Amino acid sequence: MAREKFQTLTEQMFYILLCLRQEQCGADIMARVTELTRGRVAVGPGTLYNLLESFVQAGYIAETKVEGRRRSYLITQAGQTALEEEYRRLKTLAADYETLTGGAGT
Amino acid sequence: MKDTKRRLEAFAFFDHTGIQAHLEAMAAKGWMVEQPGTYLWRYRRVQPQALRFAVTYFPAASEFDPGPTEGQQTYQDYCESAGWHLAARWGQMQIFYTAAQDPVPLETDACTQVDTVHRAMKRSSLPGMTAVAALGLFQVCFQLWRFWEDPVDFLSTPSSLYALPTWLLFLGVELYELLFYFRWHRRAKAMAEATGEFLPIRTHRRLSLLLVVIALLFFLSAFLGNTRTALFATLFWLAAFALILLLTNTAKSALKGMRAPRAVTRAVTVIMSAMLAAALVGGMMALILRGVRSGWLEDRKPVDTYEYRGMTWEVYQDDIPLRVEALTDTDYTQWSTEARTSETVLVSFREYTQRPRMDALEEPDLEYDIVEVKAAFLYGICKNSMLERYWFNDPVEYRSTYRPIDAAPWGAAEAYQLYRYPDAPSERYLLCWPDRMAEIRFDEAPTAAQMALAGEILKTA
Repeated sequence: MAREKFQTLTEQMFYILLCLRQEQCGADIMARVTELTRGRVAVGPGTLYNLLESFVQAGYIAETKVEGRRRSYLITQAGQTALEEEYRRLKTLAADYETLTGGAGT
Repeated sequence: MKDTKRRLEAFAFFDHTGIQAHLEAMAAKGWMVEQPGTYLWRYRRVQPQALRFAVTYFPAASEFDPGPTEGQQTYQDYCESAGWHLAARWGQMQIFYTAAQDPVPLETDACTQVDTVHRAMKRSSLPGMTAVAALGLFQVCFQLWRFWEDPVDFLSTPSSLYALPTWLLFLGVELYELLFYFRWHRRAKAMAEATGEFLPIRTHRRLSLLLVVIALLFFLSAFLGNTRTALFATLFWLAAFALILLLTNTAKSALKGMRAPRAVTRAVTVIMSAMLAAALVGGMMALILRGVRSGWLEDRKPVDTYEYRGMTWEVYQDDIPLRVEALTDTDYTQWSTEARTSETVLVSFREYTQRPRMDALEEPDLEYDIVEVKAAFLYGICKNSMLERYWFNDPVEYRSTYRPIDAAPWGAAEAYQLYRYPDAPSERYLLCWPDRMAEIRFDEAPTAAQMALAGEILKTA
């Protein structure tokens, strides 16, 4: 996995983990991310599949239900920690920006 | 009007950008990809339409799988729900298409995409490409070693001379693709991490095709004009290779049709390939032996045979430029004359012998070789090779050596006589002219008239 195995999360990773704070079926995540970001971020089906596989292997999410080929997932404690760390990192970035610019917009 | 067609495609496995663009152009012409392959791709006729294609890789898949794995089916479900439909699968490659004008791309995370391509490459193409490159390197080194050992033989034998550029091209294509891939991977990974953008892959498909065509032309040159045995062996190998591919692919398809597990299909395919290869090698050796014994593979047919002390001896009547009768007075008529020619665009090597029958060994015999160098820059290499021809089989201290002698009696530019260890002159001579050299052996020391005649004929023969 690029980015040294989730040291920092890409937008796609971030939003998939965020969505999985509630149990979700894999295929529904794409629509949920689009809805959550009001269309700003889209997760492609290939990316979704590969990231779900990687998250399961890394223990960030767990499979909760299998109905035919429909699989549902939920974030684990490790995933939650990664999500919170990324949130703190982003907050730090935003805080640094505000310190230097006085919170002025672009 | 045919509803399917096959096309020769030369895409690198990882060239998904090139493949996507090509499939979009094919769909616009009314052809949908049905089955990709190493070189031959199958298409089916559809209504011409503007479609978008996406080539993705599924690292966990294998060409030995009886069908799509559960993971692949799930992947397909996700794609369907995003409006992408499966067009074809080939091993780890999956091809999807959509008619949507502005679809969500199949891959939206460059880091994940680069990682997926690399994992698929590590499991599929890279080991094979490395193996072919290693084989190419071995063959190039082997051919260079043969050139070093005997330049005249190498340069005058089509199967040797043309094998070198053939393997060099194959090696070049493989190394180019390997280096291209690793360079792309390094840059794509850096770009994905720095900007989140995916660096598209674009290989030079036409260049690869051109190199393959040139390699095939060299390959054809290698056996055109070669001996019948070499021609037979080459054609046999081509047919055998095609047969092994056909049989193993048929067996693989049958096993997959029976839903055999991946491990079983892989094991049967590998074992079957090895056994067929061994059987075909044995079969070819047997056929060549039989062909040689029956004379079918001989390029020159004997005109007669005779028995002498329980053995059968063949008599040939090939045309030779210089004959014993021209050099000496003799009433003997039952000669066997043989001429063998080996020729390429660079060098021709002709061997001539004239021998009496085994029951008349008191008669003189004659043997000589003519090396014609068509490429002037190779003259020095060929001359040195001829001068050192008798060095290699003996220890240094016992080597026979050519020593310069007066060339004037021969009408040659240079002349050499072979001295056997330690200091015994033999009746073997090497004569050199600006574009050729000839080596001739006499039974006895030649007279001035014999030298002049031999030189005159060998100079222009």
